[in-house]
Amino acid sequence: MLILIAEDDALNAFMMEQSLLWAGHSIMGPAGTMAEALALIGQRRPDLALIDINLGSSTSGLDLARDICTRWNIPGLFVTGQIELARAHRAHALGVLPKPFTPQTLCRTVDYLQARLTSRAGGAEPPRRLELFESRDAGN
Amino acid sequence: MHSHDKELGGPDLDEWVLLVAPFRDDERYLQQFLSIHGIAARTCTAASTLADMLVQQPWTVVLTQEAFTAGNIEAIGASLANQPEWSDIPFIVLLDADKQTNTSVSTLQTLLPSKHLTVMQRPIRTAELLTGIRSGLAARRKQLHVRDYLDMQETMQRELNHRVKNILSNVFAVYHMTVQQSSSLEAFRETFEGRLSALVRVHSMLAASGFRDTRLADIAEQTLAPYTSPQSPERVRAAGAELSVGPASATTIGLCIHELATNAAKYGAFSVAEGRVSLTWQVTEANDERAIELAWEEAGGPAVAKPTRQGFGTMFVRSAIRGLRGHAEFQFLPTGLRCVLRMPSSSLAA
Repeated sequence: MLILIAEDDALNAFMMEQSLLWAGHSIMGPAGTMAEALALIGQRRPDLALIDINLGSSTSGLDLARDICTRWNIPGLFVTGQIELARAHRAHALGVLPKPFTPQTLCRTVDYLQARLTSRAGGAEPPRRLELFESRDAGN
Repeated sequence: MHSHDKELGGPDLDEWVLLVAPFRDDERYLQQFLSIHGIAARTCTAASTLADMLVQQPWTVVLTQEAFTAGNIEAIGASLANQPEWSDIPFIVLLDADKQTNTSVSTLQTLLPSKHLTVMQRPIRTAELLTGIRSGLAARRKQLHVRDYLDMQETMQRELNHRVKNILSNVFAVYHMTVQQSSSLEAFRETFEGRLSALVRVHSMLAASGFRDTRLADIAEQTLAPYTSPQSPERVRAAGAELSVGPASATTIGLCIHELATNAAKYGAFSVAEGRVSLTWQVTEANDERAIELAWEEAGGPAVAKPTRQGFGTMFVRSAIRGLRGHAEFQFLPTGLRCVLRMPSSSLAA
């Protein structure tokens, strides 16, 4: 999958990038600001966006999730420490993976979402730490 | 900031007294009296009821006996029922002197939602009224200071929580990355300690500056400190334009320098006694955009061969600089590694 990483912390972004590259995915970014993320999406559409709520000095990750959902129907997953805030914006994201998480959990989460997004039958269990916003239908 | 007590001069635009004195010209006289003494006063009008005026948060309320209608009492009670802990609007009540005064006062105390109640008997002495009102304004000023202090505490608490989460997240990231690339416990230990130390060093520096902007020169000095020695000062040279970066950028740049230094210690200039590293930076301008350019240049080290795979540190630097909307270029020159990091100045503000 082509995955956009919207995360302004260099270490966290790198960890995610490396884990996902190792698992065979392609990466866009990391984008440290909402503007940068949107600029990258302008050039190429990712299959999935991993979004930290705090991008730069504001909570613009929330706006980013809403934008990519409403404008391009790109599925987004919040990766953040601010769970309550993520839940409050459940309408525009697949779910939330709380920080901190291990590379293994991230990869299993992405695999699980990939299966759901491509409507692959399989019945695999989502990783325990992943919180899905069930109101959204994957593959919409 | 609000002004302090003024004897002369016009009223402070922020501080105002609410006058509720419905009998004849009482309000006009009171307003004029206060105006002479530099105190702004407002009254209720047909358009702005008592409830409306109370919503605007007067600094002190002056009520005459005639103002104590059931309707007014109810409006006062309702408007001020939900004052926050720190808030207690001072009330000054002007009463007629008669046998009923004591009863009236105790009734008032139960009716009015204020512990800050001053009762004066008419005919009013101007000195008493003036000092009473000034006292009310001063009390309110203090209350607002408390409010501001509490707001600041709350903001700082949130800020602190955010930073703690961030730091712990960073430690986890460093741990996971290092575990992945380490083939033995010894290798893990050394690399992890190095990265953790760099993290601690950068964060200590940030904490010392109150998480405000940090000088690039200080970041360079801190992260290269393990490699400098008084015996050979020419081993490390760090110099460049006087500029500062935001806290998040400081961590990123600091970690990048650490990775470059670690690589130099393993394979490059820092692995031999005669090796030297020069870290310089400058501000460049192209297409109306200011950019920062950092150059890391090694010399006197072992012969450099372009690696067949990118090292971990190199990958981190590339990723980190990309995150800052910049570009990292690695040149494996015969003299030694040369790494140039370029990024827009605006990226380093945060």
